[in-house]
Amino acid sequence: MRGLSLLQAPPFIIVSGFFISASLFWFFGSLLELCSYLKDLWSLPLYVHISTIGFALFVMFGALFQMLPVVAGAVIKEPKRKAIISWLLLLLGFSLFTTGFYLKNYSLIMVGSSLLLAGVLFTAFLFLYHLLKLKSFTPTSRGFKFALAFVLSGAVAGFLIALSYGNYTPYSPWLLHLHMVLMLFGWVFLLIASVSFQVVEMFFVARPYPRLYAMNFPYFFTPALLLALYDSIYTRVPLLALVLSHVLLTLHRLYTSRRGFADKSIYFWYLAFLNLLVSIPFFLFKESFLYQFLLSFGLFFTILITGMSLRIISFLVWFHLSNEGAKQVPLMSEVIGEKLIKACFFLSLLLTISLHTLSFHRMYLLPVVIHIILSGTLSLSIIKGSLLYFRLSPLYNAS
Amino acid sequence: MFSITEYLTDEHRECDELYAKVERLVSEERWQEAVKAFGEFRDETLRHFQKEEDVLFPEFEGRTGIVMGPTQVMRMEHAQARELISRMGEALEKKDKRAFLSVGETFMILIQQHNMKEEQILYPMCDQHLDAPEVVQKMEAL
Repeated sequence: MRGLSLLQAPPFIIVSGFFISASLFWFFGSLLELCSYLKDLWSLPLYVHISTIGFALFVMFGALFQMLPVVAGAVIKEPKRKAIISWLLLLLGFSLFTTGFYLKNYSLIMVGSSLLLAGVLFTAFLFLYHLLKLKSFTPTSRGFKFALAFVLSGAVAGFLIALSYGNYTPYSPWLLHLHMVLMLFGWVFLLIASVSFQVVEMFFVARPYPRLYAMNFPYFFTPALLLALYDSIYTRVPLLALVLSHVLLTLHRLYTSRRGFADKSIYFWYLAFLNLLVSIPFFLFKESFLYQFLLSFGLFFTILITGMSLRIISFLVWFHLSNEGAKQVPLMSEVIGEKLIKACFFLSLLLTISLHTLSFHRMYLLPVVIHIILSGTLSLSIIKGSLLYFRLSPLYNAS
Repeated sequence: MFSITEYLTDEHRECDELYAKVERLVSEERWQEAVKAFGEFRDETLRHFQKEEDVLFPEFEGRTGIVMGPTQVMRMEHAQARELISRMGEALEKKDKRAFLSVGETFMILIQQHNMKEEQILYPMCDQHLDAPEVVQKMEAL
C-alpha cells in the first residue's frame, strides 16, 4: 500500500553521499576555474557544467531520493543499492567529463558524457517509474514528473552535442539551444518551482500559491517551453512570462510570510529569486547577453541549493538520530551553526554583487576567489554535519 | 461538508500561524505576550494530535487492518513534536530566546515534513477508506 512508504525514508547516507559529492565537486570545480583563469584556458562549458551537473544535479537527485516518499508517497525498494549505481555512474561520468573539458581531450569527454547519460537515464527513469504509478495530488509531485521527463530529453541532447565534438554527428547551434532550454528551464527551474509550491507555503508560513495556477503549472509551462525551442526572441516570451509570474508570486509570498526572517533560509530564497528575475531580460536578448544570463541563472539555482542543503542536512541528522534512539541528539543549530549559515549567505551575496558588476568587464578573478571560499564553507558545513551523524548514530556505533 | 484532508489541513495551517506568532513575539522579546501565545499554540497543536490519535488513526487502523504502517510513524513523530514543544516551553520560562528559537527551528521543519506526509499520503487514504463526515464529527466532539 502507498502509505507504507512512510516507513521507508531512505538511509541518511544516500542524501549525505550525494550532497557531499555535490559540494566537493563545486569546491574542486571552483579551483579548476581558478587554474583555467590563471592559465588563460577559458572554457564556458566547463564552468557551466561544474554548477549544473557537479553541484545541482547531484543535490537534486540526492534530494529526490529523500523527497519521493515524503512528497509523493513513492517508495523505492532497496534505495541504497540503486542510489550507489546512480552515484557511481554520475561520479565517474562527471569526473571524466570535466577533466576532458579542462585538458581538451575528446576521448575523456566522450567516455564521461556516456557515463553521465547512463547515470541520468538510470536515475530519472527510476524516479519516473515510481512516480507514474501514482496519482498526483499536489503540484509538487506533478511538477516532478515533467521535470524528470525534461532532464531525460535534455541529457540526450547533451550527448548528441558531445558526439558532434568528435564529428560523429553534425554540430548544430540549435541542438545547443535545445539542451540549454531543456536543462535550465525544463529541469532546474521546473523542479525548483514545483518544490517551491510546497515549501514556501509550509516552511515560511506564507500564503499558498493559487491552486489553479500551481496544479496546472506544468501544463502551461510545457507548451511555452516547446515554443521556446524554436530559437527567436518572440518564442521565448511565453516561457519567460511564466517564469516571471512565478518569481513575482514567490517574492510576494516571501515578503508577506508570517515568519518574517526567523528562518534564515529565506534570505537565500530572496537572493536566488532576485537573480532569477535579473536573468529574464538577459535570456530574452540572449544573443547579446548569453554570459550574463548564464551567470545570473547560475546564481539563482546555486544560491537556492546552498541554502536548502544547509537546512536539509542539519534536519536529517536530527531526524535520523532521533528515530534511531541515539543517546545524544543535537538540534539543527548544533549540527550546522548559525555562523556558518550566515557566512554562506554573505558569500553568496558577495558572489552575486561581484559577478553582476565585474562580469561586464570580464574581470573574473574576485568572483572565482569568492566562489572558492563559498563552496569550501558549504563543503565544510555539509561534511561536518554528516560526520556528526555517523559519530552519534547507534547504527554505526554498535557499543 | 469538509473532507478529512481539508479539515485537518486547515488545522495544520492554524497551528502554523499560531507558532509564527509566538516566534515573532519571542524574537522581539515580548515575553508576557509570548507566554500567552505559546499556550494557545501548544493547546491547539496537542488537541490536533489528540484528534488524530484518538479518532482518526484507530478508525483507519480498524478499517484497513494496517496497524504498524503510516499511523505508527505519525504517532512516533507526534511524540518527537511533543518533546520539542515541552523544550520550547522550558526555554520560554527561562526567557532564553536563543534556546527557544533553536528548538523552534527543529520543531518547525519536523512538523512541516510530518504535515506533508499526512496531507499528501495519509489523509487522502483516510478519505478513501472512511466516512469523512462521521469522522470529522467525532473529531469535532473531542
